Amino acid sequence: MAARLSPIFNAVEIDAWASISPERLILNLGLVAEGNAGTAAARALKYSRAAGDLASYDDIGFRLLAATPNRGLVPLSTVPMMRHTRNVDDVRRKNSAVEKIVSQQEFLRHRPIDLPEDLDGRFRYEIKGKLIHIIRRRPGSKGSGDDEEWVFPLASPPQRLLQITEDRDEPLIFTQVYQANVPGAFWIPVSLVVESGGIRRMQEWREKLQGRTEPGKFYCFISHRWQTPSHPDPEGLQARFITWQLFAHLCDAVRVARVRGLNGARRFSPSLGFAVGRSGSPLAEALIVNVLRFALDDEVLGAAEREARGCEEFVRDYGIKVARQDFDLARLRETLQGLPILSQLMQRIFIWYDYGAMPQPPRTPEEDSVFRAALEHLTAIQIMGRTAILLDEAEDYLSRGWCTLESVVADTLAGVEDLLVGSARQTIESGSVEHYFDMLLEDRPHLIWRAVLDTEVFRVQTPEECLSRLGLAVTDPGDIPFIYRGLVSLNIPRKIHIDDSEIVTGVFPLPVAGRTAFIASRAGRTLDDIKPREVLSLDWTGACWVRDNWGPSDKAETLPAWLPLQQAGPGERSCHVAVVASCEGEAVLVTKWIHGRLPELESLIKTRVASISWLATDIAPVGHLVDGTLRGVPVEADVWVLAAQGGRFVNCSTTSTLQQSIAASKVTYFELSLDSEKDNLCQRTPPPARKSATGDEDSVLALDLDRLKLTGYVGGLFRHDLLKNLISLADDRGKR
Amino acid sequence: MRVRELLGGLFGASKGSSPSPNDPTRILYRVQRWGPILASANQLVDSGGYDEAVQLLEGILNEMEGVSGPIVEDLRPKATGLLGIAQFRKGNLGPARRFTEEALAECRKIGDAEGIRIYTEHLEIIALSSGLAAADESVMEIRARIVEAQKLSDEGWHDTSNEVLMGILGTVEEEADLEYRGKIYGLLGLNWFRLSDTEKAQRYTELALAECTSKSDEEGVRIYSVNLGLIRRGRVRNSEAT
Repeated sequence: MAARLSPIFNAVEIDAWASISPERLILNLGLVAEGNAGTAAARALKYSRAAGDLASYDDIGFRLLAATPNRGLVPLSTVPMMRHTRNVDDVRRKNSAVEKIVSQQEFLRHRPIDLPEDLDGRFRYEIKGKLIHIIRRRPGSKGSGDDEEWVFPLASPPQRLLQITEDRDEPLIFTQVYQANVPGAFWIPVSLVVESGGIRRMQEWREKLQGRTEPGKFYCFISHRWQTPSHPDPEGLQARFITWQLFAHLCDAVRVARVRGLNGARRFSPSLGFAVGRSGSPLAEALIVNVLRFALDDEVLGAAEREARGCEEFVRDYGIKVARQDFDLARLRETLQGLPILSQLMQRIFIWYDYGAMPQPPRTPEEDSVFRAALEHLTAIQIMGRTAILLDEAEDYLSRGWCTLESVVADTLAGVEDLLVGSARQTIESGSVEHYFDMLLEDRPHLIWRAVLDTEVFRVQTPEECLSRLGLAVTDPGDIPFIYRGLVSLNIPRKIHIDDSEIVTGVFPLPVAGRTAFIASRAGRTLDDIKPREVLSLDWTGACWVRDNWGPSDKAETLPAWLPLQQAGPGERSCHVAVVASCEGEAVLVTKWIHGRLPELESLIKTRVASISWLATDIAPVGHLVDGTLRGVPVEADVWVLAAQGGRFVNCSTTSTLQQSIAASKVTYFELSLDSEKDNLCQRTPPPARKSATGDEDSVLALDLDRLKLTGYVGGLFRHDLLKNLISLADDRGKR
Repeated sequence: MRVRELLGGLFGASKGSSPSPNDPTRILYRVQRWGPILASANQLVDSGGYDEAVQLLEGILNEMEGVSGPIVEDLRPKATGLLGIAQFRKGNLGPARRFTEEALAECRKIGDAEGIRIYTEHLEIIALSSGLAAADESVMEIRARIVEAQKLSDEGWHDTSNEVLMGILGTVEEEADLEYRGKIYGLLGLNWFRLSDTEKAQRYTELALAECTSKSDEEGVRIYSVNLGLIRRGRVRNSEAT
């Protein structure tokens, strides 16, 4: 039942692939790319669901990717995909001498200081590790792929890139602003772990723990897996990795702060989604903001930097090598003895590690009540500080219910998590967790969100089936309701994942003015030059929550992708609300909220909402599809409201296509950021027609409405194919 | 199995009639499939499926025999070059060198500068790997030190990077045929520029440019010409400001 597609997919033909495993199909792009683009998404969706009704979300996602012709640069990461990538790495490592030679090439190429001042033309960019590759077609080249590359470290990007950046430090943690005394919360001073040579059972050092938090200190919630049922870290390896890495990130923080200035902010490029210029690891940046700025001045910072510089040998790989051999942390103790300033800074760092911070069995009645209080307030304890995930075995970590809950709480509620290396794997380079582990964790909230929507909104499975299809196991079955409630209490994942491999379904509303429909002819950047004319506040953040927004009597089928409402009366301005969501379940949820609160919007912008449409642009189409088709619908309205998560207005090319289409129709147009509480409803005034930097006309087609031929696509379209197929909906006698 | 799946439609009898292999429609059909097949072969190479990649690539190279035009001119060096990479990964260094040289020659013929860069680099990797048994320690050591210096520079430790580079400069200047002299001078120039010593930046970048010019290293000439222009303009601006 859960993974079954609707009967409209029955006619979709995938016989040629039926007997091929996803592990084989993923290598067979030639076969996957056969057939027309209009049916590619339907075929991929059908293949993805062929593993059985109760297939795991990871398996569906992997099968989907295997059947996707245009995978983009950053497709969905799933556990089977990670296994596949790891196998590939293993094959390569068999000839490590040759691999070493190959991996050196990138660093042996010539490097520019900056882009030439007279460089023009169209560019694209790729970010690989810590490098940005700016690429353009070589002038006068004949062959495809004959490109000219300019490679820069993100730490020293070209000046043009630095001009479009903004200050963006890591946030202050909760405890800098509020003093918290959460029941059952005990924080372990890192210096205590170093002195003790490891993490002790909570009852052994309870009197040395801190219950009440203080400003100017750094609280780090450690999410980790237990190595054995009775002890999380019998050999003390986790303690060594935690302490050494925190020390190394502190050294990184000190060195970066010295270069940038104690109060010098990190520069961030919103369009790239990366920090540029001199910056440390996110954890180091968090330490600058939460520790260094409270504890140091410029003079002491200089002395601290000299201390940190002396430790370069140990900390260049974030302390990974030395941690392996520092059996009772004697080396770290000895190192810190000679570093008075860094030692004082270390004393400002506290961790929460369950074994050392919650009473362990056997427990007295008093200890048991402390334990239960901590369990009850676990999420609160976690979001008081910053979460670091100690990653030793990603696959196993993500199969544990509690670990997964902690990782998505960090990502969804706090928006940040740091990854610490949790074991000395062969694949670890420079102290960083492997890229595919990182990507896997990044995509976890998207899979969980769809699983929750399937259970709560579409009601196609039970909570137990939900956890099972997420591959989550618990030692104590009594924990299932607690973990499930934790997952449901989360809202839409904060981060959006953009890639060509997204599948777009629902209704693409085509703005119409008179007898002309408008559609962007290519996805481009957002309309940066359209300045907000009016900024209003409409707190509809509730739209992003399942628990506040979906009741037992609600039915997804009553909220289709095209929802015509009442016509505007005489003297009233008609309004169309276009929702862009990350999946169909989310689109239904958001549409339900909007539909139930139209008077709030209508009175604020003085209109009558005549219709609502939703469009899902889904990086992880593993959940239930209530619609499962894509079609264009011409819409004529005096006012448009485009509603989406804030990040979509900056980075999502599907949203950008709609933005450009609406702007070209010259109607009054609002953008509503659903995840912000205030100043989130911005009226935009479209600019006059202009030429782009490349000399092209505006990239919007104006089409004669009478000649439009609109086709529905079962299974939707891959984002990569969206524009050319939507444009092909229209009669090509359209005029510019 | 894979080759049949992917190419079966090209050779097997089609429904109704059996057109000639030189039928233009059929050729067009083949041409349209070469791109995706090349992409498949690329994925196979990336994933360790070297034997299957070789089969695919030999298949499309056979099909390209006797077909001409811009698409073939564009795709053939890519297929040949990828075949060289697949053979290299299989450990067949002789065929790897032969196919890579063939791809390089074709790129030179059509003026594909990126292809020239890639296959030149690949020939260098093949040569180094061939010498692994003899272990040319000094070359490997110099490469490792340059990589270390580049990473330090990328992280913003320009002075430490320069220390590493200066440590190997003597060895490099003694060996007349060494490949990496341009890179070392160029990186020294970049580091000195970042450290605001434009005089040294200019001196080392000029050396880099001269070295790349003498070695016909077009990438080096392109990059260091730009760097030199930026350094010189920066110096002029600085002197005007003072």
